[in-house]
Amino acid sequence: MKKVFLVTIIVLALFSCKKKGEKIPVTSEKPAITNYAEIAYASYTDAYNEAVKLQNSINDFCNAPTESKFANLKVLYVNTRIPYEQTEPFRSANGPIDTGDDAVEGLLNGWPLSENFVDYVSDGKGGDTLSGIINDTIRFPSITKEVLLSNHESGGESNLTLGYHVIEFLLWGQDLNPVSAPNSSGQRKYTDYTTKANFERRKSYLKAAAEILVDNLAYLVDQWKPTGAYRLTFTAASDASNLSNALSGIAWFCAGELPTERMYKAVETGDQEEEHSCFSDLTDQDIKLSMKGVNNLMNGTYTKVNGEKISGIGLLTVLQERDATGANEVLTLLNTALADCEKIKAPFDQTILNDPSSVVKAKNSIFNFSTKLQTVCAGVGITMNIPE
Amino acid sequence: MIKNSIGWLALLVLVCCKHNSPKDTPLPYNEAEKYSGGTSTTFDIGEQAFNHAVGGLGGIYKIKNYGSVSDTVTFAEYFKLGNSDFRMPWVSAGNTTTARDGLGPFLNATNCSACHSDDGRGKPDLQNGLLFRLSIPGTDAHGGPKPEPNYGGQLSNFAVFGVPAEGDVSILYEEIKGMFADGETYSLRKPKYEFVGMNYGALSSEVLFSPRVGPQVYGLGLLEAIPESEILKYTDEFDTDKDSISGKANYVWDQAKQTNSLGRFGWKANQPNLKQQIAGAFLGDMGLTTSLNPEENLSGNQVSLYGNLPTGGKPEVSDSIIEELLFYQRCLAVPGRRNIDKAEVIQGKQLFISLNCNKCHVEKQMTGASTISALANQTIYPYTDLLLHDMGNELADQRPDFLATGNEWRTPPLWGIGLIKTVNKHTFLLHDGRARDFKEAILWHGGEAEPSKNKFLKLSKTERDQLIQFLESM
Repeated sequence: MKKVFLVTIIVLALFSCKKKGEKIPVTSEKPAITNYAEIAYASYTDAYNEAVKLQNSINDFCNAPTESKFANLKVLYVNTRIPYEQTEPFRSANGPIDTGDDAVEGLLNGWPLSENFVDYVSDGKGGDTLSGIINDTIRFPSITKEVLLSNHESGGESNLTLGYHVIEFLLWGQDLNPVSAPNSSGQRKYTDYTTKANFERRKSYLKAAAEILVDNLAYLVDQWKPTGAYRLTFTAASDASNLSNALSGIAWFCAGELPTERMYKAVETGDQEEEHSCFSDLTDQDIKLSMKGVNNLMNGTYTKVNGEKISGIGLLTVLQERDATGANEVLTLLNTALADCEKIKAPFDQTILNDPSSVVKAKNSIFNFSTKLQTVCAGVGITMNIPE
Repeated sequence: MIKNSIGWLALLVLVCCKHNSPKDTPLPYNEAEKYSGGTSTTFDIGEQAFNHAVGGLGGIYKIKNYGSVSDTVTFAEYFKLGNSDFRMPWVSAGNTTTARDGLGPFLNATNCSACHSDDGRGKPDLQNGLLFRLSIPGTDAHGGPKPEPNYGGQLSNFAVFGVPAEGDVSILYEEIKGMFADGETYSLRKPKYEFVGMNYGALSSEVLFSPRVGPQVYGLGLLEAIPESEILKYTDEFDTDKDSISGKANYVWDQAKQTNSLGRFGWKANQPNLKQQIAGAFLGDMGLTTSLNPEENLSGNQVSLYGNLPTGGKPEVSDSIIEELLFYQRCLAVPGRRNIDKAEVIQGKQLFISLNCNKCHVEKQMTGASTISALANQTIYPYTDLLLHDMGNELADQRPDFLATGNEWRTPPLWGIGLIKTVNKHTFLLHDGRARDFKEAILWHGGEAEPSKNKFLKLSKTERDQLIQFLESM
């Protein structure tokens, strides 16, 4: 009798203090969080390995440039973007990509850039300007990794010297095509590396930029590997805080960053080149891949470049255990967003000018997914911390 | 037995919930003061504290049809566009992203957030939010400062590729020792500026200059919505009430109205409204033209040297971007106060009043009508009168700006300043960031605030700490 009463008392006491939305213990948290880290490690590793291949081929191309080697560099560039874009939802989640003094996001994926800070651009009269670090032999007598690192964002945030989009510019060049042109991307010729003014300096620049790209991806791999500094911090942190960071990052990416900043802004501005991969015209791919990254994390799966599959517990399962109905709504909206992204017409620059409806539909779907995700998370006591 | 258990139960419940119990002795403070920015105050106290939208942005901004797809843009989404405009850098003309090109040729920064990082406050260096206004004695056609002949109204310490920057400034600080009445010593740092590497001829021997740090930008829509009559209520230009504190309105050129209007924004209240402030920053700080400022920012021989450089269109910043930014700026919520029930903070506020700080840092204002409902008819606690005051020779820039003399500055709002440390990771205050903390900022007060400063010097250590704790609760 006494025992029963005591139990009642304790239960009552507990209940009386339970705030709305207080955390209910679930079983999938730990494995979902571990799996999240495994996917981070695997996708950054893929991006790194593919970047190394790109770097090796850039070195080979620079030793003996040919047109076919140059064309192949673009294929290899795309190959490293495929895993890298899938890592975008790791942003704004307190991870090494964009947290702390050693954050590398701005060094890897900065946009937009004043490309005339890097190389020549069209002078608008049929010729080229003699601009950029590559053509400025007086201020920059030699082009080295150190020169690029120390001048990154010097004199302003758009003065990028590094990252994927700088390499993209050095491979594709400016996209000067009218909106009706069949060739929608930039048309840089391989002779920029054989005969064009300052071609040797351009080679040095490309090689240094590739080397830095590899360095920064190596940093992320190093942080996320099982014995990595960030991975150890991550593992030591509470499941609740990791879960909160992971889901907040995804919700942020699918609210402010992707649908608003990268998609709606492009439609609203109505400018042909208001797109992140404006030289290669691969923006639609970027969008699809980054949403694939979201899908990876929600479902706990990732297919490596070598075909190997990671298949564990996803963040969605954690939500399902707490709010099955809500989680299913999240899943439905995610699937809609993925399907709508697949329907975005390429090339993106022509789509935003001629018929942006597919982009508008997809951005709304992504936004709706994020809104629902935030509501469900908040409802089951997962703290959402989403910067505007 | 049952009775006993219920008793235990009640006790357990009480112990468990103690944090919810009312205080034994209620302290004299007004709960409403927490809501610095009215009903749409934000209570985030983290790094994003300055970056939230005012509440009630659920309405629809516009519905636009793209073929069969109808797009409903909410104000919340529209706010995000403005946020993007605020953060994203501009690029120089000739680059691929033509919607965001036209930067320079001369500039201080490539984006708004370079000087107002996370919508907060800049640091006292030329890379992170400090700029120098320039002029020579006399006035321009509208009564504003007369630009320096070679360098114009502002020094540009950066330029686009291939164009040498106008110059740079070397900053040295001299430490000045002082002592409180109780014997505790302090040190203030007085800045000394030297223009170096000037690339476009000599600065006029008569040059007047004014260093200015980018202030935090939340709550501006609320300040804009304070009726003019409410602001003018506090003017006392000739100190008829003999409290040594005047309060003077600045009347400045309103470009859109083509007449003089009450100045509200800027360190010397030299901008009549937010739109003109934003357009002014685009041109002066980033070299970007707008409908309001269609001409490039070139002076002296820069016109012949760089007048033919490619531009980013006419204007470089579209009207739609200006509107997005304007909406964004108007809708940034003000952080609420913390710890207002803490005894030290309550004491600190009493001291704030007894030292007459509140004569200029007027606690409460009311907003009037606004197209944005969250801003309309709000009781707010900005701690400013938005008027000009003589702050003494030590703080003076000796550079008149419309009706503001070289000694006069606009009372800056104090709301949210306790969170600058969290958001911007520094505690530099005053127009040029010379003060390293609240204490130093108070000690630099002179002129009309000299009596208040002297009273502060005579406070006990405990009282000084209480006053600072009150400011930290902002």
